[in-house]
Amino acid sequence: MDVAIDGGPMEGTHQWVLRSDAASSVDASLSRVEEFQVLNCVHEAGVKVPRPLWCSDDHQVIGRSFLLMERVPGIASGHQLTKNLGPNGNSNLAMQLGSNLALLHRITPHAGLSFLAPQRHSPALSSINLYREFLDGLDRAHPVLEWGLRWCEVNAPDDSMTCLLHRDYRTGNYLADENGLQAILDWEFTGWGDPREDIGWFTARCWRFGRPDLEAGGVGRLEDFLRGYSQHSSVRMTMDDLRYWQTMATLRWAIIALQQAKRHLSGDQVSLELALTGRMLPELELEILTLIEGARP
Amino acid sequence: MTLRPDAGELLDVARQHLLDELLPALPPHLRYQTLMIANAMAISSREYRNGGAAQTEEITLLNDQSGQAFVTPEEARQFLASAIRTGEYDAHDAKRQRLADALRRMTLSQLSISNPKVLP
Repeated sequence: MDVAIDGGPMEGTHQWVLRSDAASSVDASLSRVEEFQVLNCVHEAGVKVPRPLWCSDDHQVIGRSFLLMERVPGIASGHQLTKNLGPNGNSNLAMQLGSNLALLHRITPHAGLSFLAPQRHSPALSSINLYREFLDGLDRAHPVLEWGLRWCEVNAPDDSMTCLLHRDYRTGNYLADENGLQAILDWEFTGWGDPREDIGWFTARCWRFGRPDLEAGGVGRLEDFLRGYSQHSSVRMTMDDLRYWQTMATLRWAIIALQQAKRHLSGDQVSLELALTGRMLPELELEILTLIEGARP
Repeated sequence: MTLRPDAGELLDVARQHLLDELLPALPPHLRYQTLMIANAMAISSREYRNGGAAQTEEITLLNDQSGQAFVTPEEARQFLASAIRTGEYDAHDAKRQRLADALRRMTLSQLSISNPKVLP
């Protein structure tokens, strides 16, 4: 929206974005007020996000909760961002994505974000249990997903770190233009967890769009992304860690694909897009098998 | 034998008509949805032709691995899924490798129906 303000410290014209709750909000989402608090916190930490301006859960204003933030220019489309790149991709963008993720991961649990669920004892094992519960409710068993889940269970990390995660940090969820990264978007899945989870999700093959050879989200090389990350974080990913968390990421996406197919099949939300997402499963299963096959015994 | 053109042939000609005749005449904002419809038709056609063979292969491979003689893929999948979950294939031995190979073959057959463009 274009806004004109007379008087006061923000006098002048501005371009803002209003985000409000959809009529049917998804379970995993934060409320708009909580999202505003997260945005404030990560903005203060130096992460590139649209500057948060105002929020309200007074339904008398527009009938729903909402937040206002600055409008940021740039392209979000994964297909466009991964198109017309050279063999090494966009090293500047990959580095910026790494350094911004590291700035986010410097945030540790504190009272200002107490509405976020506390870190689970072993985030990997908790996720594996959740995915198995979901699979047990389906009519059809999925041996390849069981294979992946068992491997992740047996190889679960015994060390753990806790920091703020984005949980959907990937190409498609940030804005970039010719000057590089502009803003990280879509914070509604934020929570406490192991920083390596975000790195696995960002680099997983399923989020590389047109450039599966560019491990950093289809836009750059892994080494550029990790170089940017190491500017602000002492967390080091070994190749084994990366393979583990990429497998977890692909399992998560496979479970989401099955959930989306189920939403369509149950009649809750009949949709061609959800139906086709369910048919992505073999592609994800092949990636799980390949990741595990390449792992050291 | 079913009447010709069969279901696969009908889907193929309908899809070609959609892409050649309708898509160029549709406004740009309907392009993505139209391509999704064409994709759904292509998957359906491939499943009509190869789905039966993939299912027979799957039962055979699953029974070979589990040493059982299940008749339906549902039973065979369920049995093997439970065995994997309880750790029966944890040891890094020939049995594990055979299962990994069988899972890969089944997955490739499914992928050749859902999205052959990404086959390795």
